[in-house]
Amino acid sequence: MPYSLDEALARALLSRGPRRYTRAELEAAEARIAARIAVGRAGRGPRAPEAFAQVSRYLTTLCWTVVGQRGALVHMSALLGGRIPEPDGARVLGCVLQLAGRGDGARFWWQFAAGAGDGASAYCLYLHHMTLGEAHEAELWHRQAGPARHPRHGHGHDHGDGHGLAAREREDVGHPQDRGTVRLAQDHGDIRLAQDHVHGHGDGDCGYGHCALGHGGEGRGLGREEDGSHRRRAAPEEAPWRRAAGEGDAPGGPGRAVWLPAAGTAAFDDPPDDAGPEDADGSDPALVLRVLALLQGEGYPPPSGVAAAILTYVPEAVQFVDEVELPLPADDFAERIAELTA
Amino acid sequence: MTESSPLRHTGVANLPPLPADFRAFHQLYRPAYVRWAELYLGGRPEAEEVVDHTFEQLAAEWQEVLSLDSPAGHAWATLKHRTLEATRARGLRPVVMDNAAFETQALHGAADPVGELEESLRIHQAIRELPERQHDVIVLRYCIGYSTAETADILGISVPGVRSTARYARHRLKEALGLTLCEGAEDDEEALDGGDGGGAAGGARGGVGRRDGDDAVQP
Repeated sequence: MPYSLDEALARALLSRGPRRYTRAELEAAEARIAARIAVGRAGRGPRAPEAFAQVSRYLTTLCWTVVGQRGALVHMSALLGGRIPEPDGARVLGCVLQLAGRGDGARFWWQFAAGAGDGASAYCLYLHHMTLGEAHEAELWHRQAGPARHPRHGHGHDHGDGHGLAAREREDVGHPQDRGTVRLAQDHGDIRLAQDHVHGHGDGDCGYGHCALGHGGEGRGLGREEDGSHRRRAAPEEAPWRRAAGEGDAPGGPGRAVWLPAAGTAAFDDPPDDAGPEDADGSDPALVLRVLALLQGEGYPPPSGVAAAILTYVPEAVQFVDEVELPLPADDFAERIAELTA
Repeated sequence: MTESSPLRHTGVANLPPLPADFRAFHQLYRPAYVRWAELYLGGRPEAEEVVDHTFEQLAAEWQEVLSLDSPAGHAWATLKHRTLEATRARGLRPVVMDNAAFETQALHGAADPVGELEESLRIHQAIRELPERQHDVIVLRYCIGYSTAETADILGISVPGVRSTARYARHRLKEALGLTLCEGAEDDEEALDGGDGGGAAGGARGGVGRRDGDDAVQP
């Protein structure tokens, strides 16, 4: 029955279109939401809000670290140049996409690399799913990232209090535990630390494949610019809802105090078996990421000219890459590989 | 969760007011979010709860959300994940329900309901198989009926981004439905903004096997 796509799409139109809300319905919904938040703060609700922010920062830190590694962008351009995709390039591409706000694309490429055995990508996926609140998927990838590592409850909880970075996030720089990490900052060419339970990266035995967590010094060789505005590459147009800020804002200054739980809540609070698992040597990747974040300072290193250009180009280019007949979705991946290798 | 009385009337102490920009965001996006969740969950109350949960999560990380390039994009991703989580919790397939095919406008008063339903099922099946972003654009734009601008707003992406995604989606749908022989205003997304069927004389660019988006492909 030949007819046009437009006719077909017309058939897809549902009889009920966008709905409108009445004032009363909206207010009732707001009240429900406020109530849920209150319940959450009482401890019964979902994971600590601070954890989301923290995990998000970890992921950003890790992505910048991966991207900043020497040769990383070269790997990625080789990938985009149409050669056989290598896990390295795929990992970098995933991180670039994540930094460019294309988490859905990032996820695909990390899965691709992780499927090829890249532990760093698996860890990125773990963090990625954590930021989305998908504990189940996060756990799967967490296991993938370090097969020798068994998630164990209990160790991770203390890190939040025991290390200066968490204190830093509470904006309490004078916290005594800060001293250890201050020493680190002066030492930043080598992130192998004196502290016992920090992962000594130099041994290369971190289960992340090769050097996902680059050494502090050379890994950050992207060149610092004073711009510092990279988090928003272009000033976004003022969305109408933003203008509402400032009128009748909740007390608490910048607003954090209102919504965050009591200080001292560690990251990865929930679910329990995802809390900062440790290797036999007591390493903790979450801690490393906190350290890296401290090293990189309050804002992440603004990209150099070349890197900035790539960060702009890639999200556009990947539109097209997505259209290439790669084994999508992940469900089919195993089957297709099996076919090819049969 | 009771819908009867706002909590501020019941004297719950120490309930901080929601930030004004959060409330504005909520009012702006909630209707679309509920409509979306409804498509997956099949019912209003379930959809309302999922959206409540979504906004609860957004509120908890609101300052971080504000600092993102696309707060709406993040919120949308959050909604989708909460929705999928809810479908799994209810043992549903994580897809826009088959019911959608039964709820089309075309079905109402169709001269040939059975044939119409068959076509409707085909197109909705094809839509379900689109890659995620294309799927979202098509569902928002063509199933629910938002404009291109509204769709861009909901997804937290640009209008050109919506158009380009729609172009790809249309191409895949044409292939999936076996319509590659037919003409249509395939690249003329602008013409469709008016809501009419387009129907441009695309003959010059059409043809069997023509790959949509060729112009824009980079080496």
